[in-house]
Amino acid sequence: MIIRPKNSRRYFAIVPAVLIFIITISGCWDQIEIEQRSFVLGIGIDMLPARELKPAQIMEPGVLREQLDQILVTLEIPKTTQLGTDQNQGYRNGGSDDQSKPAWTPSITGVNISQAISEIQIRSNNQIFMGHLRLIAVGDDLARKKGLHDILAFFFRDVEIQRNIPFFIVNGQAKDLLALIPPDEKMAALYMNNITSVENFSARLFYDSIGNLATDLYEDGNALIGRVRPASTDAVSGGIAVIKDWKLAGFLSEVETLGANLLLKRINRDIITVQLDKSNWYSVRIYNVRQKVKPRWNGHELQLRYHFSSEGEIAEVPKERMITKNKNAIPRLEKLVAQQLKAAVESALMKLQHEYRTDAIGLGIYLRKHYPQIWKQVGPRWLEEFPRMKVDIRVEHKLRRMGVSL
Amino acid sequence: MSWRAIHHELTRSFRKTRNPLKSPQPQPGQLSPGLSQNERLFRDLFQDCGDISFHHFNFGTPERRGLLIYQPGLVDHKTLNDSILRPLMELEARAVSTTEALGNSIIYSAGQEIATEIADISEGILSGKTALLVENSQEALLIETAGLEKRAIEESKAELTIRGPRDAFIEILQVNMALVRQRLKDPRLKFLFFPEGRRSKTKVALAYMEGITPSDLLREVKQRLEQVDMDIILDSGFIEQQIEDKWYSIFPQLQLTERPDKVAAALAEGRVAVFTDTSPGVLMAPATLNTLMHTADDYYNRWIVASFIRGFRFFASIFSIILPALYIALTSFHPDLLPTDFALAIASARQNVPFPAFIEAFILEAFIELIREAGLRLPGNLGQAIGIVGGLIIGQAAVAANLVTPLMLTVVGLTAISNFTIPNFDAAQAVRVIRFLLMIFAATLGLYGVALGIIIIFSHLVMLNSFNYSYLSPWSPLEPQDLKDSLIRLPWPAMHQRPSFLRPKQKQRLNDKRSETPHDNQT
Repeated sequence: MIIRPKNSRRYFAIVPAVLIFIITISGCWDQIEIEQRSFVLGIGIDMLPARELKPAQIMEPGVLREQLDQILVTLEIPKTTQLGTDQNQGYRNGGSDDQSKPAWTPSITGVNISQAISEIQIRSNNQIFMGHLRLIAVGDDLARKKGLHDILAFFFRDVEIQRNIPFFIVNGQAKDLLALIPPDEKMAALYMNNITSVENFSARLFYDSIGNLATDLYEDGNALIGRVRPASTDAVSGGIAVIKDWKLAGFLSEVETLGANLLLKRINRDIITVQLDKSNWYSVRIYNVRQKVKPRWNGHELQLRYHFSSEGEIAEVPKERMITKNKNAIPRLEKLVAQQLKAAVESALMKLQHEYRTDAIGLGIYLRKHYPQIWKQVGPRWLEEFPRMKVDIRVEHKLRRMGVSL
Repeated sequence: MSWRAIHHELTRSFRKTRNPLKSPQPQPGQLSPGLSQNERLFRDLFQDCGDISFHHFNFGTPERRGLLIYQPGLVDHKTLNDSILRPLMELEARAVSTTEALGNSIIYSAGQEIATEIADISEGILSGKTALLVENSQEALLIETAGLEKRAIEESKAELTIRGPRDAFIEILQVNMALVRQRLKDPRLKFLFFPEGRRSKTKVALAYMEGITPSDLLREVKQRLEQVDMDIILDSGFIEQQIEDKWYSIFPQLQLTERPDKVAAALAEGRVAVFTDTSPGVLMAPATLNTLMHTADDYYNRWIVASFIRGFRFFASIFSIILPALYIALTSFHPDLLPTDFALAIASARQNVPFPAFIEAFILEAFIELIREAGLRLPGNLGQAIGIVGGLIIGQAAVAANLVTPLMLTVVGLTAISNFTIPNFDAAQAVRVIRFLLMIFAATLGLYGVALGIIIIFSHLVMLNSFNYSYLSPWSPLEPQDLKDSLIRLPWPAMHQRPSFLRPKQKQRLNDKRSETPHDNQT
């Protein structure tokens, strides 16, 4: 059929014909009703401990299951029938009366993630749908031994999966994290996903999405990932897992996480508690943290000068008079807070430089982008230069508000 | 028959050619001198027309006989008795002999004419005039006695305003023209008459402003009105469908209104209006998508509020087109685009609904259309009852019976409410139909289908014209000047020029005396 634009009437006849064909011939392959999908909210990937490998778990005869590099994939899939279909109450997320979780958390072994998910698929009555994935958790065992490369590759290959999903390393088993019944949420994955917003209120927490994580990892194989420790009714997400060459090198404690967040300019606000004198604890809420870094190359070693300035307000004082009467109290308090911040940065840097010997904070990339002259000197030997560079940290803290005095 | 032939046939029968089958006119001819001959002539003409009255009387002397022929329902009997019969019967035997002399000096009536053609006289009688025939005269006197029962000028039912004038057109052309004339006391406001309807003899008036209305537009409308050839014209809709540009388009290409202030405003902008006798709807041309979305209140209210409301109206109309389609596409094809909590809520609500989202949406949309149609057909209070029964009880019951989800109920309710914000009734109805088309697209191709459907709608709109003016003016082709009165309405000082897409003969419409550089005073 030749469409000649000049012959407008024939052209006009073709349009409805094409429309009819589009509607009648297309097969609606993608059309799957929303209730016929199994929304995978969370996925946990663990190393399968060898002692748990039993013959009963061998599901597919052709696959050699005895080899030890198997993984255990746990999904969290909400049971939509139990999410509150009572039409008077509607859908309720959270506040369940009974202690059972309205979710299906199958754990199945496989040689890789896809294979394990396909095993879960044949046990589900609905399509396993990853478009609403909200949490990726990886057990520390797996991260330490096998690394993250293959795992990230899976998530990046799947077009359904979004790039802004938080990624956590679990201190223990990811399976336990997905099994927990959170305090005010029905799904552990949604609970963890919401926890990431706590980052605005606490600097002891760190998280990153798989999109950013992949950017870091593909750059040099080093990255920082949020750490989470599952408990029975909640999860403590503080601390950082340090990834070196795609593998878990170790953890930073919560105080060191504060330091790392300061280095990464990722701190919004936090509470710093200091001891002004014996048995008197003061809490200061810090905000407006600014950071300046000045690198210098003196021919044989790299010197970095960090200058932090922060502001704060008093959150809690034991004796009001100590502040109002004592003229030296506020400068001393400022100094103590600054000291504590400095200590946090120092301990974080110490661990990264000397224990893990990993530039996981992206300092090399920063130098390469902003100080190419210096990078020319240190770049080729960056792995050696990073641990031996000298860092000078200065912290200046100002108390801006006293709060209401009684 | 090929498509082309069908199209040609339809177009031809719709507009291009006149139907050669003309009905036989009442016998043409002149009156004869004898009264009894004339009476027989009219009695033959009006044979079996039980509604025509013949009244004999004597005047002056007993020998002088006269005959009045009229339609009793169309004439005002007080006028007939007091102004025609009384002076004639009280007439003394004076030497008033000719019919013309009777009219000039005896009968109290400003509207009278001498007629000799039988066809003219019969038409006059049938449009409410009274024919006076006297002995020994070949002329008849047609006296204007029309006093048709008419309803009072009431508030418009379809186009309400908060602030503007309340009066609306009625079924009498003379009254409608007067309502507009009241607002434009300017001899340059012209009403051109076009007799339409071979049998109905309906008067159609074309109104325009001399010196503003572009001649191209005027010529085009005149030409199309002259080409209308139909047996009866019952409503302006008959005229509209015969002079519009594209009969196959779903969009109205003339703007219907029953508000005189809207017509006056359109005329003053340089557009034309077509009045149809016996119809309270007046058509304004050209119509653009932009003008269809405007209400009179947009101009009466202060501009910030007016712009805000108008923007909302545009938003709501888009909403009412795509919302159900979007629901189908998002739930059946792309649930990953919904927020997680929302997706889970929909999934859990839909757990017990046995139908696919597409069928669910169709059930409820069809249901809403049923309620609207039923409410329209039923008399006043009953219509309201249907709305309550339909909307609340059946909707709630449908949810309880797991036929539909509460969310779908919300979507459909929102759609219907949004649809009511479209000020033009024809445009709102077009949107109702397009919504179903988009739902089919969404059900087959998902979001891609919705996008495809919108592209098709827009490509149609871009091609559409109203009296050779682009339907998407001022956006396509872009008229930057006219954007002042499109999605927003700028304050009056910023609108000192008439819409430029019309190419009016005179552009200036407002002189802002408050500004420092006054424009030449030509408006």
